[in-house]
Amino acid sequence: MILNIPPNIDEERILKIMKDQFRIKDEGLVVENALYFDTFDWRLYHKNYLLLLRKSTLYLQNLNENLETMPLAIQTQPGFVWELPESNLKKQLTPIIEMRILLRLMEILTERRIIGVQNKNKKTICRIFLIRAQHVHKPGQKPFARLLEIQPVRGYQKPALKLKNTLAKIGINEREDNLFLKALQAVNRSPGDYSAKMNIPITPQMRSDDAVKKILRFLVKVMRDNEDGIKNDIDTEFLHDFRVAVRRNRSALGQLKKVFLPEITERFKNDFSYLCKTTNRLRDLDVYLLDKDHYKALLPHFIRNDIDPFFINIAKERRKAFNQVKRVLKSPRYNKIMNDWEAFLNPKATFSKTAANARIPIIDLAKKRIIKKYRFIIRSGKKIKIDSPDQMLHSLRIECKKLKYLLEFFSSLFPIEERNRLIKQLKKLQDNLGRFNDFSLQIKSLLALAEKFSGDDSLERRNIVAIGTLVGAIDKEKLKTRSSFSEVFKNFASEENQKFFTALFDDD
Amino acid sequence: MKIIAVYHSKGGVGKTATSVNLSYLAAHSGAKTLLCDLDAQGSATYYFRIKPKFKSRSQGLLKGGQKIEQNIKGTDFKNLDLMPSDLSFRNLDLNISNLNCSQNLLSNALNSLVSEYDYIFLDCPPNLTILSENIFYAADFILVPIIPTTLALRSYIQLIKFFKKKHYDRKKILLFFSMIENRKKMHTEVSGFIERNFKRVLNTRIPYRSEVEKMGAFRAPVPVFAANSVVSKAYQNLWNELYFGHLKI
Repeated sequence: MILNIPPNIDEERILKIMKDQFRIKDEGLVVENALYFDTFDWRLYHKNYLLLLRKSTLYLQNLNENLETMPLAIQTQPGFVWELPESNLKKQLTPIIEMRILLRLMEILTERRIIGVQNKNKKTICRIFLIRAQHVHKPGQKPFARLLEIQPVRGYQKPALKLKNTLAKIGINEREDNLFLKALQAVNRSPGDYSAKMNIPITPQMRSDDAVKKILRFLVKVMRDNEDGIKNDIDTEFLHDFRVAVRRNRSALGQLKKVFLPEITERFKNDFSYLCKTTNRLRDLDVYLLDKDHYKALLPHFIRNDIDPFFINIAKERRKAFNQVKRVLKSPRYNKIMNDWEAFLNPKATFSKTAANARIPIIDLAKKRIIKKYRFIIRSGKKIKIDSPDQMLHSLRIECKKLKYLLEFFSSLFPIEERNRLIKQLKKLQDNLGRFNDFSLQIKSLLALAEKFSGDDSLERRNIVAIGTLVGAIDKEKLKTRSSFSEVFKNFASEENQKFFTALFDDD
Repeated sequence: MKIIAVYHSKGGVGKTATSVNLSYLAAHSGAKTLLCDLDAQGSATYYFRIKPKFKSRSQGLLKGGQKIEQNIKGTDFKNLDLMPSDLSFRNLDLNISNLNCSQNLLSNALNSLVSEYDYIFLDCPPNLTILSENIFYAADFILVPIIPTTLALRSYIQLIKFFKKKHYDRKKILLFFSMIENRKKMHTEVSGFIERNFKRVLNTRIPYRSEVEKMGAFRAPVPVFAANSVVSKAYQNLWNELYFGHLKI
């Protein structure tokens, strides 16, 4: 039983009141430190978990319970999940955390004063802990929580209950709020304060330019939030989230025509295209390194290690690419792009001239663009036959992505369940096209990267053979994916789905 | 889970002192421990400042399960719980007779605790009854404290004969000297004789010391209020010998 001590009651008063009914014995003071961890995007929190480190042992805790489970002894603070010793904890965390690094959320110091409560025979019938919790890096601040925990002794439930009732009378009751959240609040954090998920509140009758600016402001924030993570090379996903935000920016500017003046749209489309181009290489190489184990597993075991020189080379190239991206993010050109864009998007900024669609209600614009894109996808997909060139599938993939972005931009304008259902259908199609595209690109770049090896020595020759084998294995997967396309598309373009889509988005 | 009975057919030989101090030391070493006070006199219960039960019909003990759970009380010491003495234990024998004279009732009753405790100590009443047979059946070890006198030797031999007659496993019985006074010639002679002629005699001897009597005043195990005393250390040695030599195996 953990109770909350309200700010107006101090611990001495509590003890005084208890002394009227019971005997009190001081049993000591225990002081403990706990470090809490989560990824930048709060992956553990979103699964209702807390990860804490106390005295060189990691524990997993459910957000709403007091129980700490899966203890794991570690030598150094946790970073990437693959660095943890083999354990149940590692198994549990890996699918949640994936490739993100664990960052320190906060460090909490708990002071626990143990008080034994005795009956007339001086038998201890329960213990209470007077607990103060505060942040380690803010000394001098008041504790963010003062608690009283009643620990009954087995077989003495009634006296413990009696004590609880006595305390309730002076205002000491069970906690209503969550201690973890309260701790975060005290350092100005709140869970999910970073998220790349789009759910921007816009209303159907808003002016299009205001609505679109609101969407774009969100995307700019995502870019800004990830800058430090990229520059400090913390983990690969900072760059990924950054690039996704840039792509969404470009898509918005490209698809939502005549909402802004052409000078603006053209200029920034170019700028964001530049940002995508300069970060492409680094992302590609990151993905290679992340998929290294997967690639090696595709090879027969007797070749597996022969491909190591390839990856060593990739790591070298990656270092170069990273330094380049770091320079770009620190460059005056980048600063100008971002500052100008933020200035343009500032809600207080006013413009005398507006574009043709600036004033129309956003709901009209949204529906129009969505239904048009959808129909285009249906038409294009139907044209794809078993022997159609690969390029048609690549183009379709891009169109699907544009549709997805539109659905995400305007998520708050349409009913959630229906929208989610459609996104789910679209995702199946996108997954198939995406896989196909990935395989094509992988083969292309593997062959290009293989060119770097001259084959002068035996090690290099074996490396080239290994790359060739890998290409073969990937090509096999690519063909499989290609052959399942028509079935996947048929499901997407089914009568039922089309009716459903039209009902939601078509006005006529 | 291991069940250790502390038994002797006579009173005043140090049964309760042994069960209280050993169960405390077991708990102190980190093992989850339960001490069952099966003696209607309730001395063990008194030492831990717990009230004995007056009301229940002692059939509850033998029915096991929830009834036992409900009666268990936490002592002031970590890892150590107590099942208090039930004054109606006096009638226990009669009740067991009502329940088919079975000798495995106690064992069944304690089985429900197998996942909760590492050790269960039984502080036994100083008699030889059907309850005692239940104890002999249930226990993994039967610790027999002996003050080395001729009469005590006689009691011990009677116990062995009883076990032989009932075909109980005599290997469960571990004998040790309690309240031993080295200046008494009889103690040294009899203890020497027993050691030479009987098996399963523990090496550790618990000396007679006033600290043990003071348990009644302090109402706590000896290592709590007189950790540096000779007798406290002797009990620690006894626990070590029991653990490393017999329980751990």
